[in-house]
Order: sequence, then structure tokens, then C-alpha cells
Amino acid sequence: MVDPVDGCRDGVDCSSKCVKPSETTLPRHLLELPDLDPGIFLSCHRAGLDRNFPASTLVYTAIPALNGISLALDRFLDDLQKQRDLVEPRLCLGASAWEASHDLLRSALRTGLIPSINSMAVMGVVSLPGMMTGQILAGVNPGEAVRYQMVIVFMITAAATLGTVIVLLLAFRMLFSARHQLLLNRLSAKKD
Amino acid sequence: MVSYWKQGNANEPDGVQTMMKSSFILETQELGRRLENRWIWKDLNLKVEAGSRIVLKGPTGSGKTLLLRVLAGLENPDHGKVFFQDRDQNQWKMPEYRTQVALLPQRPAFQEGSVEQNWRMPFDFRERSNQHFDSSRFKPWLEMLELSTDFARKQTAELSGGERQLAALLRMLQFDPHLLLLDEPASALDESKSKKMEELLNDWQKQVPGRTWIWVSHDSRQAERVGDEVLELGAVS
Repeated sequence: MVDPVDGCRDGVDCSSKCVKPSETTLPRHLLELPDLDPGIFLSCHRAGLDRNFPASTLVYTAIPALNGISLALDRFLDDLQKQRDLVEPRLCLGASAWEASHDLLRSALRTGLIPSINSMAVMGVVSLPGMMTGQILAGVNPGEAVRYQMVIVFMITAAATLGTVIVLLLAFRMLFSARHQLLLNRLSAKKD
Repeated sequence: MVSYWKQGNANEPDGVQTMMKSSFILETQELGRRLENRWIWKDLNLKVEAGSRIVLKGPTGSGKTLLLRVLAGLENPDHGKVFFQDRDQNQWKMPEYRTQVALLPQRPAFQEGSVEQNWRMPFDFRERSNQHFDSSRFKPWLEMLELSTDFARKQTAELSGGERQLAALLRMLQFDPHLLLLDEPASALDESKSKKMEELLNDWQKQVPGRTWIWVSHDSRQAERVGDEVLELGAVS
């Protein structure tokens, strides 16, 4: 496999160095995202990256982020149900929905980030990430492979954080009305 | 069915009646609430005058707690409207509304920490940012309830059910709400403490004209002591 970074540069013909979709065994439409914003492809090209970079990045970041999102959402919903007796008295004392539940949101966010932070804590010491190992075995300079891996790890953590925050805010909006009421019946209605 | 009468005139006819002619602090118009396709109560037309003491009675499952929750704005009615100080509840900013209409739940919960930390907690809310905690207000209340001054330093995890009710009541009273919605506030108290709590609330109510409460109670003797009027919700058919 050709190192895509060494390939594409502005004004340089990169056709011989970039990995071409046709050279892989997977169907072309699975490897490319032709409908994506052309700006993304241009950025990838300028950064010297393969045009499949958005697709692979999405896969690399979305799956680990999903773990964090699921954990955080589960924790938030569970806490709201168990601590309803704590949240509603705060509302009764004049708290806004945010004031009544922000500690639960914070705790859920922390739970959602545990997998990413744990994975970062042991990476390279206990576990050897697959991409980095693969690159080293393929002959890439180890220092460069490690730098790539760090970028990937930070991307995963950022995606997990962003995804968790967005999902928690959506859950918050769904479970509290504009009149600062806790709408737990929406959860039980879904179960029915 | 909803019955309403004044204490001492128990023979007044059933049906919802208008209480007084003067200004009302709380009013409901054709209020109704359904649970699982049946009306728990409906066409509830209440007019609560400022300064009145109302006892809410009814058999288990008649929707007393639900009514208090609707009046506190924690739940929406399925029909009708609630007016507080001549303003539709929907037009109020709810945190502001709830600083004036305070609901005390039957089993209050507390955050970890001391009782005093929990009394201070509401001052962190934006709606109360211009208010300040005054520990001296609690001293006469604690004396009246025969609780030691160490009560404020007790950890909430160590409180009994009755002590929790008292601590929650004092936390609410420090803000002097216009309308108190008390959901069996003495259910975990022995008779002596319960009477002391009633005295405290009666004193608090008399201090400033216009302080009002709706008190849910199953105890008819207590109802006589703490209520001038009785609102009875009928059994759900």
C-alpha cells in the first residue's frame, strides 16, 4: 500500500501514488462518498490525503464514539428515573430544568468519556493500536505511524465528546418541557 | 365528584362552589386530568382566596397529589386552565411561578451533605440569585419544633422520615411563598411533632396576610386544626 501522505501535494500529479478505489477488492461505492461536500475532498487533497479519507475517518471515529454515546445516554436516563425525587423538588424550589439536572448531565458525560479516556491511558503501553501496528509492519517510519495514531485517537475522543454532548442535549430537550417540567412519561410511553 | 365546604358548615350542598367575592390568589377553570383514558377529576372550578387555609381530602387514588402537581405546574392538565394572581399559568415563567407556588412532596429527597447545605442549595438558582441565606430565620423554627441547633449540621443520610419532612418544610418556608401546596407534610411525624409543625405553620401564616395553603390530609382531626375550608375529591369511578 502506498503511503497517501507522500503522494498528493498541490500541483503534483498524484495519480500514480494514491490508492485507487479500483485497486481494492471492495465495491467502489462503499469506499467513496462522492456526494460529500467537494470542499472536504479538496481539503483532503490539499492535506495530501486519500479521497477515501472521509469514509475511513467516519468509520474510525463513529464506532468508538457510539460506545460513549450509548453509555452516557443510558446513565442519564437511568439517573433521571432514579433521582426524580431529587430533580422535581429542585424544580419546585424555582430551579430551571437545566439547573435541576445539570449535575446528572455532567455525570452522564463523564461516564460517556470513560472508554475513550481509558483507551488513551493504555494506548501504546498495554494495547497496540491496529492502524499504527499495520503501518509499522508495512514499512512506515514508526515515529510517523505513532503521530498518525495520536491524531486518530484525538479524533475518536473529540468525536465521542461531541457526539455525547449532542445526544445528551437532545435527550435533555426531549425529557424536559419548555415549562420546566420533567416528562418521564415519554420514556414509559416508548416502552409500551 | 368534587365536594367543597367550609369548616363548621358541613351541611352545605355538594358541588363546586365559589368561595369568596374578593380577589383570588388561585383559580381553576374546568380543570380536568385523565389517566389511562379515564378522568381522575374534571370540571374542577376552584377559587382560592388569599389567606385561606384549605384542606384537600379524598380516598386513595382520587388524584390529590396529581392536583397539587398540576397546580404547581409540574404536570399539565388535560382540560381547563389554572390562574395564579389573575394570570394564566401558561403565561408565567415557571421558575418564577414556583418561587411563589411551592409544592412540598410527601417524601422529600435531599442531596448528599448537611441539612444546612440543602437549605442553602436553592440560593444557587438563578431565580433566587438576589436572595441570601439567613440562618437566623431557622432558629425560632427549630426551637418551636423542639429540634436542637445541631439539626442543621446533621447529614441528610442520617435523617429519619419525619426529620426529612421537617427539614424540607423549613427549606421551603424560608422563601415565604404566597401559596403552599402541602402533600401530607406530617405523614411521617408522631402526633406531638405533627401538632408543633401545625403551630409553626399557623404562626407563619398569620405573620403576613395573604399567605395561603392547600394541605392534603387524611386525618380529620388535623383537617379541623389546619383548614378553614375542605375540598374533597371523590373516588374515581
